[in-house]
Amino acid sequence: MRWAGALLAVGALLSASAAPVAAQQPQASLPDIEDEVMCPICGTALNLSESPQAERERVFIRRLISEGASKEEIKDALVVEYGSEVLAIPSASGFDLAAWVVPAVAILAAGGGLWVGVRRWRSEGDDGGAQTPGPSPTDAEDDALLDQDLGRYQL
Amino acid sequence: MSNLAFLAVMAVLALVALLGFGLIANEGEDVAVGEAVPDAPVQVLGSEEQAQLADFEGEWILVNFWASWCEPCRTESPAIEAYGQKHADDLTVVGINTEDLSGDALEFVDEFELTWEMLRDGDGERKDAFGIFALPESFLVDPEGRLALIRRGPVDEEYLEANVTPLIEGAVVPEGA
Repeated sequence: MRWAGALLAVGALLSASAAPVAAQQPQASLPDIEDEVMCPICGTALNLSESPQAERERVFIRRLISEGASKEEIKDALVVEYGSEVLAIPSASGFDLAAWVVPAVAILAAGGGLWVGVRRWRSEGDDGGAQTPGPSPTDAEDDALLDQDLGRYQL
Repeated sequence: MSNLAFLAVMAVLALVALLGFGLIANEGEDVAVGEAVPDAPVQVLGSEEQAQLADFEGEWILVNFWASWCEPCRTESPAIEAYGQKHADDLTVVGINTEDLSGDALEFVDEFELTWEMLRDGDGERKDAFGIFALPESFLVDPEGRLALIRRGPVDEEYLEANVTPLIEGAVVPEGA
């Protein structure tokens, strides 16, 4: 019975401490959101805009935060209001397509350039090893001087 | 020319082509008097229902693009309301609230006691289709669905009486008709 009582007490303690944890949601904050969404009318990120339209958008976000909405819920609500362009993700059409294509092309080009460069460097290294001239031969005058010096020491 | 120089020239050409494409892509739509009005279903403001300008076919429609954050819209809205009431037999006024928060838009409608049909263009797609650069702008659409008048800027009752009334009362044939 004592064991059963102890288990019940531990269980009650665990469930009491688990309840607030389960109720906890990631707390949304304006600074955390406004650098990830656009002010669509201003054409800039919300955290960079001071226009009246941007201020209305902030009021909207603050109201949802005060109502306990999570970051994702707030982003969803902004999409309902302004469309997907509010998410600061370039669309996959028109000029915005360049934002997706250019980095991919740049990475491919850089990779290709690196590959070509490394190949060239390696082939030059291989060829160069065969062609590298040895130490320049000493000329006859130097040889004579060397022999003369060595002769003085009678080694 | 070395391979490296060739690649550099190609990269510069690609950049120039990209900038040119950007200029063309951002040029936007343009509309003209006599053309069919750009139309697509949009949400009715404050409702889940959808509506479009074709729903009013057979009537003269004054389409007004506005937003609650637009100061000139605050000045012209009472004038459009008064004009719409006065010419209710000849004209339907359709407001298209664009790039705005629906809550702010509904407050605006309440504040100015606007009774026109109100559609919602939250993402600005309709605004772009009409080639709008700044708010407010108004478009008169004839009963056949063609643009009869384009006003880039705010209107007042004097402007509407002078430019819209002759068209809707049949005193003037729209250009391009």
